[in-house]
Parts: sequence; structure tokens; C-alpha cells
Amino acid sequence: MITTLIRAVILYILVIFSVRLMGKRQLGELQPSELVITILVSNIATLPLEDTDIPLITGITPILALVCFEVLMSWVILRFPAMRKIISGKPKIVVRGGKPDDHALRELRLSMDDLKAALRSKDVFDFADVKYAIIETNGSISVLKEEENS
Amino acid sequence: MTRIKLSIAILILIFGVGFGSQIWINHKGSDITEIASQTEELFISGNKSQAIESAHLLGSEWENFRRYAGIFVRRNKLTEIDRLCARMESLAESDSEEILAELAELKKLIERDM
Repeated sequence: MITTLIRAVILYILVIFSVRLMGKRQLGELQPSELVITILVSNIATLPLEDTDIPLITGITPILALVCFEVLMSWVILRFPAMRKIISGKPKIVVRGGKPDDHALRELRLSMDDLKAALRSKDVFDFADVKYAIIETNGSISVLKEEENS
Repeated sequence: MTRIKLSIAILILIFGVGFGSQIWINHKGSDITEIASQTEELFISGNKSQAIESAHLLGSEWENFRRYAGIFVRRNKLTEIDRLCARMESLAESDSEEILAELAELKKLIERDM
């Protein structure tokens, strides 16, 4: 029992350290690679807790390795913008001059209902009010309204 | 930039510990396998007293290794080898043929799991 408790404390400290190492970006909206790392780290951290036969280092090593790779990858993306396109993709314009782009929506596998819901979250209830709507690489939507543009 | 340097340092440390531990485990595993083979030969040749000494050495070498091996190897794998090593000396003293099968099993487990 005490072993499990000590392991839990160590892994807790490790996960907190990992999140801090990845930086504040991690706590905001996630890029695809960041989402993958977050899910992996949380799954790996549970393994040594569930099974005390597994050495703790078997949990610590992959967590630290993944987090460090993620930090290095974010630096590479910053340094080489072409890498950003490969790893994170590019933002896509889904509404142009009040007209939704069906082709772009199909590529993103978004329905019209999904688009309308996203626009409503930005207080937009009519396509005519939208000059541009862009789906960002982290899945969020950015809207430039007609009134803002003029 | 501090995060980058820290990440690189951690990765170097992880790789270093990983490679180092694997080399150490392989080296110790080979040593123990060699002692097991030596015990086997001594027992087959009828040299009982030396076979007992060798079995005793096998047990103590394993104990020394096991103390730190638990950091890197799953406990259930080590428990199986613990059981085998604990019996070696008594099997050698009782002149039991079973020791040969146990030594073979020990070598197989070390090669497979280490």
C-alpha cells in the first residue's frame, strides 16, 4: 500500500514537472502533437500505478522522453516554418465573403451544423456577417466580421 | 531556451541510463549464466563439493544483482529466478539430478528476460 502511495506521489510530481516543461501553450488550446503527448503521458503514468510489478523507471523514462521530444519539436517548428505545415497542418478558410466553402468543409470533415455551432460560439448568427472564418490548426475558429473589416 | 537545454540534458541522461543499464544487465546476466554452466559441469563430472561452492556463488551473485536489477526489470520475472537460485545449493548438497533441469531453466529465463 505504501509503495503504491509513494509511486503515486512520484508520478504526480513527474507529470506536473512534464506539464511545466512543455510550457503554458500546453494549458491553452492544443495542437495535434500536443494533444497526442498529453493523452500518451496520462496513459503511461497510470501503468506503474496499476501494476506494482512494473519498475517505476519504466513509467518515468517514456514520459520524460515524450515530453522532451515535444519541447524539441516545438523548437524545430519555430525554427523551420515548413515543419509546422507537416506536423500541425495549415489553417483553412471555411467562409469567404459570407459564403461557406463546401470543399474546405468536406476536407475538414465538418458539417454545416458544426460550422454554424462554431460561429454561434463567436456570437455570429448569420453568414452574411462573416468576411472570413478560419479553422485554425488546433481546431478553433477565428472570425473576421464584416463590420470589423469596414 | 532553458527548456530546450533542459530537454536535451534529460534526453541525454535517459539514453545514457538506458544504454548503461542494458549493458550492465547483459554483463551480469552473462556472468550468472556462466556460473550456472560451471555448476552444471561440476555436478555432471561428480565434483560435489565444488558444485556446492559454485551453487553457493550462484546464489550470492544473484542476490547482489537482484538488489539493483529491480529498478529496471519487472518484479515477476525476478521472482521466478529468485525461486530457482534459492534451491540450487540445497539441490547440489542433496546430489539431486533435478539441479540440471533447474540450471537449464535458470539460463533460459536469464537469456529471455534479461
